Amino acid sequence: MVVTYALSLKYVPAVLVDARRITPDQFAGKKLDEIKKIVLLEGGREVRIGELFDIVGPERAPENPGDIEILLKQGSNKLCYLGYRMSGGRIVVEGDVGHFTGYKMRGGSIVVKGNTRNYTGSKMRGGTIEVLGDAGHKLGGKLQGEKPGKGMKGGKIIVHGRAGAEVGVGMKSGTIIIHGDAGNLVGVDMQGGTIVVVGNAGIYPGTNMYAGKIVIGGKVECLLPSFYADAILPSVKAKGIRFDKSFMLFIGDAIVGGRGLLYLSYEDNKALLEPYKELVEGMRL
Amino acid sequence: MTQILIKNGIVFDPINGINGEVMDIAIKNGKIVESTEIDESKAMIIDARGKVVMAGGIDIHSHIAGPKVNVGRLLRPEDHYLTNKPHVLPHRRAETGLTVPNVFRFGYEYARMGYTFVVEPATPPIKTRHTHEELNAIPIIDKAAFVLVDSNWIALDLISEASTELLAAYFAWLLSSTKTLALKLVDPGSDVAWLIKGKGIDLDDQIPGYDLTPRDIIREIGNASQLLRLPHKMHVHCNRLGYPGNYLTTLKTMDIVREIKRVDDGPALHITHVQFTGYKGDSWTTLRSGGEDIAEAMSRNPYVSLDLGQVIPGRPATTMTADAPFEFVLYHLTRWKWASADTEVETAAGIVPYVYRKRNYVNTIQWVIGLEVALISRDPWRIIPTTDHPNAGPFTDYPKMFAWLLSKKAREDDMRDMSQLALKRSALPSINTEFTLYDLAVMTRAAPAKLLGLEKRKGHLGVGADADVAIYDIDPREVEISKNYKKLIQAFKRTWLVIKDGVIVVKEGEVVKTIYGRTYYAEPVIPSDLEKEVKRVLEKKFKEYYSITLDSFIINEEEIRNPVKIKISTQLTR
Repeated sequence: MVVTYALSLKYVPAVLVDARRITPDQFAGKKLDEIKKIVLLEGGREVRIGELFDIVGPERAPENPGDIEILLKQGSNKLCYLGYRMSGGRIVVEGDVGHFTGYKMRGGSIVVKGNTRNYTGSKMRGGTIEVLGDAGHKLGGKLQGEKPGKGMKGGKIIVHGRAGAEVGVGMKSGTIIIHGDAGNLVGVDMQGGTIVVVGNAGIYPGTNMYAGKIVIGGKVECLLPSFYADAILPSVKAKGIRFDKSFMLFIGDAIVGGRGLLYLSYEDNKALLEPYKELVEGMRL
Repeated sequence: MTQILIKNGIVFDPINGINGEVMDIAIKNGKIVESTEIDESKAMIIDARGKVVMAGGIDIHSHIAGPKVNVGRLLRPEDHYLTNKPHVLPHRRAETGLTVPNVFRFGYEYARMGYTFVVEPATPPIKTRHTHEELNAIPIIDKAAFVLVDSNWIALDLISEASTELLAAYFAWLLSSTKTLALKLVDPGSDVAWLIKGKGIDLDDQIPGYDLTPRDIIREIGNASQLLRLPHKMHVHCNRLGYPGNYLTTLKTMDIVREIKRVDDGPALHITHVQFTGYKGDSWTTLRSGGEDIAEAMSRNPYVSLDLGQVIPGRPATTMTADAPFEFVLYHLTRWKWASADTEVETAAGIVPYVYRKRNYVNTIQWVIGLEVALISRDPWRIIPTTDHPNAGPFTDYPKMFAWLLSKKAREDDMRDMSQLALKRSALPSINTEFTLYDLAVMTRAAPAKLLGLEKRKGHLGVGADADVAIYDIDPREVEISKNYKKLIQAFKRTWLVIKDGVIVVKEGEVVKTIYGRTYYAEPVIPSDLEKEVKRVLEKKFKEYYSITLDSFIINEEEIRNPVKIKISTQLTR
């Protein structure tokens, strides 16, 4: 049976809060008093959950983190590392959250009804993150300075709004679906997995990608010359989303000897993709 | 003034020949005194019953400051994620970083392990002002730096043209004007070859542009340092570091001491991070450990000392060295990122991140070499355990290394996760040697103090020594360390109590007070006529080579926090 802990902020924090201990794994098996004593960092200062939040929930949490739901009745874009390494259960935020939401997450699900900031689902290995608002930069990405392939390794991220730059930077596996627009450099340094952008994207999607699949259903600002045009497809279906319009398939990025698949909507990028059409049709002859 | 009495501790003090005796240590005004001298009613009494008392540790080779550490910080942002430790004001600043931490973590982590003196082993002369700025900011520990001289154009000119006396006088000027303690040679002559030809050279190859070989450089600098009677004569990083088969170069380099005119009985040559230069075999797949050969050469050659550069498997590292040609090769092996810099006239440097993997064949052989050298030669007075931080592993893993040296069980437990093929091809699994706590006190306290010529003030607990004391919560009478090595790691990771200059800085593994240590530097005294001649030569060379003037080069004593000058009467004094 799933139990719910409802957390509501006593005050809105003015500085970033390291809330990595707000996860079902940390709550599991603890009494309510013990949960209230879990330490967070507000700025550099230690603060207990009970001092920052009013907590309403059962006296004792179940042993299995999968049976715990944490409900943040009010979000704040200062709350970082929410759901850090969580292995099961569910976190629902009825508002915004900060950076690194679901960092290194292994299972369970996070639903954010507002917006998230940078590095949402960064380095996650499993589970689901759903953002009803917008997400920041480096969605499902690796950290700055790490090798390609150190990003997201599994699981699923769904963003219903827009996403910032460098979606899925260095991702290895897993799925990212963005129903709105995405920023520049979608899937940079990508080594596997799937990114689907239903809306438009910025410049240079798929820069330095080795493998994986990027589908962009809207307009793209420009494309790198290191992608080979492969075919024109009448329609594309990716991760349950069907686009009933013609797409052009590119393979690249040749700079790194990659074999990644980049699907760009031909309908929306006629001016950009017109020159490639002749090449693709010429090959057939 | 503060008086402290440490009662009933189990004292290990090799310089004074004390091996695990229960005795009292008295501290007054930052110095160790006879226990009769202090007034017990006014003194702070520390009950160290069942605890090990040693002098503060000394690390002879750890890259803690200087331009390349700073470039390493810029190169590795991922090294700083999730390593932050917030400040606890007023006594502790915030810490961050793992292999290239911020200055505060250097000081605090060393203090937490009971180390109170650390040497930055390579600073390019022209950038030493920066090195001192960083050393000034490192809290708690005492510091010193070694200055790079091997690819310095002025030094090379003087070696090929002028007399050994003039060369010695130049080094005396260099040490006192850069405020450093000893001379460091990194892959002698290779940085000149790197700049001109883009590759490193072996011991007997000719240096482009000069009629010299690295062998000549080591010999002549050795002779000059003998004339100067420097306490730590030469700190040599051997040629062909990191290449399979380089143990022969190391053995040849050790033999150079026979060509040096020695003036005293101390070691004439210190081979640093010997693990990186002890590879046998002719390719990476046939790599073997040259540890046995090096240990054997050590026993034949009493004028050489070593430090290990012990690899810590399963840990990330950031290799940073003035051996720029090797870093270029390593960059092509790792294919990730690389920073390279050439310092005008003097040297070059490279930085490449690296991860030592447990199951990797080559990394296991590297792990074996360091331990084999130490365990086969069994000479704690000449072998210093280091990890060449951050090249072979972070210094925070020293306790792990101590466990491998003190306990066969610790080695066997870690061997299970390593490359079995590599272990099958090496002697380490059959070595039963286990050092004792006394040996550990020698290796980490007494021997480095002697090698640096600081054995009067550092590395012991005799009367008159600086009051740098580390008390570890481990009772060797109750805990059998070779069986229960985890206890040793725990005790040495977080010291129970550390006293620095008579002030308690660490209590139960946590920093409770921040003070700032001293910076030691050598000033050899040379006759005035020789000094004038050096000035005359330098003025001409500086105009020719350097982009700055001679006056801007010299670092003043005011630029250093708590400087301590060590005057050295040289052979040149008339």
